[in-house]
This record gives sequence, C-alpha cells and structure tokens, in this order.
Amino acid sequence: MANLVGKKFHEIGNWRIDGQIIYEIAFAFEFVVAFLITSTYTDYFSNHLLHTLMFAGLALVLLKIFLFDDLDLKWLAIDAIVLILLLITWRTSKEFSLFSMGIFVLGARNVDFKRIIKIYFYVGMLLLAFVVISAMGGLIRNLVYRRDMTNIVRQSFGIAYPTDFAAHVLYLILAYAYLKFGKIKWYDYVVFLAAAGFLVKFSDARLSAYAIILAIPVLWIGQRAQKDHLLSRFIASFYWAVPIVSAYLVIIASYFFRPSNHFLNKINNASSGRLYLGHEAISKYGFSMFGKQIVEHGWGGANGLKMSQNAPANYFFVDSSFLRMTILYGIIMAIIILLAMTKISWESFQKGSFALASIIVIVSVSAMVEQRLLDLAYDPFLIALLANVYTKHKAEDIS
Amino acid sequence: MKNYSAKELIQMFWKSVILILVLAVLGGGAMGYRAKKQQHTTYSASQEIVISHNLNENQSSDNGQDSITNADMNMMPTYAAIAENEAISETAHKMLPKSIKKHYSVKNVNDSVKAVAHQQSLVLTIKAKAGSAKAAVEIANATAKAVKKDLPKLQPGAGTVTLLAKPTTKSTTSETLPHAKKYAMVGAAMGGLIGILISFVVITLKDLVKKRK
Repeated sequence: MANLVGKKFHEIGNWRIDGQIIYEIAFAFEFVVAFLITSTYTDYFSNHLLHTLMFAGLALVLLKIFLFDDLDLKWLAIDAIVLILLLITWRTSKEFSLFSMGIFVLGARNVDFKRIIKIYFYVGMLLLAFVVISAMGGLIRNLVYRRDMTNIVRQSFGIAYPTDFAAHVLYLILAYAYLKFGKIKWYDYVVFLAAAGFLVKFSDARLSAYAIILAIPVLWIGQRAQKDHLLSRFIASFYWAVPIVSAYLVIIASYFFRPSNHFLNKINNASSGRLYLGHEAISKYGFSMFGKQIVEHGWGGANGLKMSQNAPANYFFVDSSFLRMTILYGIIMAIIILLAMTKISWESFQKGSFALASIIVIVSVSAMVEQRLLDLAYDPFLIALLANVYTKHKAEDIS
Repeated sequence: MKNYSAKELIQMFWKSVILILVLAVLGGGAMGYRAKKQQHTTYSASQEIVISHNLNENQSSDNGQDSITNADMNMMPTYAAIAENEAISETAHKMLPKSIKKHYSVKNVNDSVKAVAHQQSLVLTIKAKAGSAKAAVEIANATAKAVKKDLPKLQPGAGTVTLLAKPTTKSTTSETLPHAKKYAMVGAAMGGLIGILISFVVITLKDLVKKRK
C-alpha cells in the first residue's frame, strides 16, 4: 500500500508540465469568469472580484509566454511591443476586453488550437446550460425586455441581455462547426436553423439569428471548397477579403450617415438605429491613434433594464465591433486586428482547409453589427493567429 | 502548396496600398470636381413685419387689450399662409425693380418665399431665397410690402402691417451647395473601396492561377 502511494507520488512528481496545459487551464478559467460576467450571476459576485479573477488567468498566460515559449529575440521584441500597445490602449479606452484578448492571442503560440476550441465548446455548453437552468429555476434573474412599444417579449435566460444570450448561441454553433468542419451534415444545419428560430421566438435577437442562418451557406460552400469543388472553391477563395471589406463598409456608412439619405436611412432602420449611433459616436469622439474612452449607456444587466423602463432616451451604445475598436482602441490597433483576422483567413485558404476562413466570414458579419469580436466570453477564434492550427500537436485529443 | 516569402507579401501589400490610395485620390478628385461644377450659391434674406391692432383704440372693453392681442397672435399662422400665397406674390412681383423682374417670374417669387410665424409673437418673418443677394433682399422686401397692401383686402379686419428694418445685401446669408468637400470625401471613400475590392480580387485570382499550375 505504502509502496503504491509512494509510486503515485513519484508519478505526480514526474508529470511534465508544458505550455499547452498551462494555457488550457488559463483559458478555461478565464472563459468561465468572462462568461459569468455576461450572466446575471453578477448579482452575487461583485464586478470587482470577477475582474480581479481575470487577472489571475492573464498572469498564468504571461507566465507561459515568458517561461515556456522559448522566444527568440525577435519575437520577444514583438511581444513586448504588442504588450505595451495593449497596455496603452487599455488605459486610453478604459476597456479591458482587448487587453485580455490580446494576451491570450500572444500566449497561444505552439498551443493546439483545436483543443482550445474543444474546451471552449464543452465548457461553454455546460456554462450556458448551467446559467439557463439557474435562471429557469429562479436562482438568478431572467431579465425580460420588451421591444420598444410592441408586445414582443425578449428573454435573456440568465444572461445580461437577449442579444448576449443569442451571441453565446451563435459562437457555440461556430465552435461546433469548426470542430466538425468537413463532416457537417444536413441534420446539423437543421439544428442550426432550429436554434435561429428559437432565438427569434424567445429572445427576438434577429441579428444573431440571421448570422446563424447565413452560416449555413457559408459553411456549406466552405466544406465543398475543401473537397475541391471548383465553383465553391472559387467563391470561398474570396472569404479572406471579408473582414477588411466589411469593416470598411461599416465605418464609411456610419461616417457618411445622414437621415436624408434614403438608402442609408433604410439600413439604419433595419439595424435598430446603429448607423445613427455610429455616426454620433464618430462625430462626438472622432478617430485617434491610440483610442479614447466612450461613455456608453447600454440596455444590458439590471441597470440597463431599469434605464430601458425609465429613461430610454439615454441609450447610447456603439454596437459594431469594427467601429468600436477603431474609436476605443485607435486606428493602429484596429488595423492590427483586421490584419490578424485577414491572416487567419488567408492562411486557412492557403492550406486548403476552409474551416477558419468560413468561420471568420460569420464572425466578421456579426462584428459589423454587434460588439463581441474582442470579448473572450464569446469569440475564441482570434486565438488562431499564432496557435498551431494546421500541425498536429503531440498531446492527445481530449475527446 | 504555395508559399509566400515575406518579401513577396510586402510587395503585394504595397502594390495594393498604392492602388487603393490612387483610386481614393482619383475618386475624391472626380466627385469633388463634379460637385464644384454643379455648385451654386443661394442667398437668403429676411424681412420682418408686425401685424397688430392699435392697443390704445381698444382700451374700453374688459380685457380688450389682451383679447385683441391674443386674437392677433392666433391669426399669425393664417397671415403666414397668406404671405406665401400666389396672390401676394403677384403684387410683390409688380413691385420688384425692373432688373430683377426680368429674371424672376411670379412663380419664381412664390417658390422662393417662406413666411415663418413665431410662438407668442406678432412678428412674421418673410424669408426669400434667390440666386443673388440683391434679388433675395428685393423679393423679401417686396413681399412684405405686398402683404401690407393686400392684407386688408384678403382678410378684412386684420391689424396694421408695419415693416421692420429692410434687409440689406450685407445681412443676407449664403449657402453653397453641393458641398464640394463632402462630395470629395465620399468619392475618396468609394475610390478606396473599389481599390480594396480590386486588390482582393487580383491577389486571390493570381493565387488561384498559381495553384492550378
């Protein structure tokens, strides 16, 4: 017996800790905390505590970068410059999400990307189920909103806002599609459609639902492209252009928005006044090199719900991730982020595996109208920038 | 599998950036030039008039002053509509100096005039927009005079019309449309967009052709 225990201890002592494990622990931890911040569990934990916890995850990743990554001088310098940029933009914007996303992107070097998405998917499904059940069971609040003056009821199922709930569903579907890419079958598409229908019926979250519906042809074409169907391959070859083109379109449409312009006004009305708010944001804050703080009043969470009932005219929020990042973090960061997305997409196209290229298309379309691109609680796909996406890692699969 | 050296990538990147910039400048120049060509300036002048009854003559009745003033105030939107009517424009047209009458028909005069009543006030502002400062001044002034002349006929019992200061060519405001700068910026943005699209298409097609070989 004593021998056995001793042997076990010996085994534990010989466990090899590598960067992958550390990163996976940090990612899972950070994702759980970031996810909970988007739920009404925040009624029980102070925002301060949750944010402090997020620093622990970041510290772990920084440890991985500097102890396990074996950086040469060039990469050390690049990492240092990016870290300084992240610090500057965090302080100018007073927004934390890019800072943590940036560190996770840098830390992903030599990390098996597929395993991260697996962790994201399984942990995300668990958390979402946990939050929904908590809300349905009355443990936390299920915030219910009403669209303007209509009788349309929008449930959030324990998440801060109906569209946030919908965004969780959208990104989990994308993660599923990534893991199953190449083998996505018709019944998967049926499930996606059903999820979109559910989101429209119970949360009235139209934009995420449309993104899910759009994902179906995009993924279908992407899969056929991977199998070398000529036409699909031709179409999917242009997927990598989507991030820059969509960001450019959103920014110029907001910049030039006038209510008197019939065409832009139509788009504005269809997108719940987003062009108008975007235009307001640009004229109020303008573009700068390193970003600026934006004072916003959104609908989400308990305070947002109160405002939606008492002072709806106070609403001010920049929804589009592309516009948001350009104003909040500045032009330099926005260009870096767009180039990073383009690189992820281009590489996917170059390797003839269109999984990430297809997913980045949907992520970009969603980023045109919603603000989740840089939020680790939703979007894990930017991590692919430096991670091992196309070479098999030695560590075995977790499934 | 095709690989790109950093050098090739940078080369492609620079070519694209130059193309985008050139198209943006061309687009901006073209749109700006077109707007400049179409540009014309309109001048607006305003003449204010007061339409009221003599308060001293109405002192006898109870609250006479108040009710008369209120009645006058309530009439202001009606007076504004009358001032914008073609009947007034016709009279105004006859009063215009010859040099201006030549260039403006009754219809032109009518189109250029707008009368604005103000809350809790007996002042009516008559605004005229025209191609020259002088024409705007004369049309606004002539319309005010026409109101003074015709109002008693059109609305018996209306108060006395008093013209306030005559507008001068210096007091006019001018607006030049379309805004050349705004058009130039839209042109630059559109040119940039076309440049971005062309770059993406060319890079993708080149790559596809290379892979086929």
